[in-house]
Amino acid sequence: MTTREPRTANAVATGRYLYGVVRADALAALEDAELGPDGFLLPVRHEGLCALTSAAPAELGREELARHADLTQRVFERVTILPARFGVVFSDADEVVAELLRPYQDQLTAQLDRLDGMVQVDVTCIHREEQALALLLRADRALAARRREANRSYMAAIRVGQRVAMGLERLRARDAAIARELLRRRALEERPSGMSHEHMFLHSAFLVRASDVGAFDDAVGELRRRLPHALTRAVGPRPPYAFVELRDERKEPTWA
Amino acid sequence: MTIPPQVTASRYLERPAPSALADVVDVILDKGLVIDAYIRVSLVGIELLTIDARIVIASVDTYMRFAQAVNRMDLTETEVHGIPELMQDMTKSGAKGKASGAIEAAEEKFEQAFGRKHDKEESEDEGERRPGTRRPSRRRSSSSEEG
Repeated sequence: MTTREPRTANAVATGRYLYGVVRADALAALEDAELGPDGFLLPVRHEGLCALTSAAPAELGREELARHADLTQRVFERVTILPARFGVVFSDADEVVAELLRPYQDQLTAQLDRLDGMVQVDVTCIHREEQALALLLRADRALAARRREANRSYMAAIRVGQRVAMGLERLRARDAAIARELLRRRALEERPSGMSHEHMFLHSAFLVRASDVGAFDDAVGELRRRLPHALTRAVGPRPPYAFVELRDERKEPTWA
Repeated sequence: MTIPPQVTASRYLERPAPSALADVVDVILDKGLVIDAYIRVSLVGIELLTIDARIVIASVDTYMRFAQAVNRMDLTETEVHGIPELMQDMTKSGAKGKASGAIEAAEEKFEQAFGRKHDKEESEDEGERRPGTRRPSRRRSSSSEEG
């Protein structure tokens, strides 16, 4: 903390932590949402919008991360919310209006309209190594025949391993295409993220109409049946974190 | 607008668990409403939550691991399944390009170490063993007898 500039330290001590933005008239629906002890949630209103904030915690760690996820989830299950990224802190309520609600009012309103009735489902698919290798050996007879060569020499082993790596890469590409073909039918948009595992071939957030969640669920089931050699996880519905985007309104080119 | 979370009984979707921090980190740490100037989060400690992330870059070690893995496998089912796209032109795939640098480097190193060209895979005799040509960098299986 000693390395922080005074303004930032002050913001953390007295500031407002942002959970997300909802429509001002949606607040009534949150009364029974158990969003913390009395007085914990500090709504900041501006025209038709309302930022959901709390006093900024002194530290932002695991506990705050879980609280952020829990609070946005509870709100999302009742009203449309533009969930904030973890860790957004303003100096005070005035700054929430001056820096967020007022300059971005049109964008925030348009995004709330766009995301009405939408949910996010996150899907990850990872090949189970042993099963993927077995599939590969059955598909590639030459590889199956040559795999014992790995015992013979260092270079022979590397060649077998390289062929396996290429085969796994093709299997990932094929299975990613199958997964996308199945899931995109039931989703409006997809936001892919980077792969965080060597056998991962799908790591995406899907934007799904709430009324289509059942159909998306069926598609996940179909995906599991089609790709039994993969571990498929789908988590949702959750707030549409991956689909909220603000263009910076404050950086108008000065030469224009 | 209200989204009843349990309006359909999900059979495959997992309910988000805010306490499952590894999942949460993936979702809310770099996505969501943000104005860059107002990000105050310190990531100290948070990166520890992503311990299950495992990225392995294609390397000679990876190839050795794969080679040993397929070597160990018991193939009870030998018929070819219908995935011809996995077999097409295997040697010309993109992975070959990425891999070739590492392979060439390994070959060069090998030749320097042993002073001769390695045995070509097309010209080997099944039973023959040549001392000095086996040099796995990281051997996991103790068995080396061919069946």
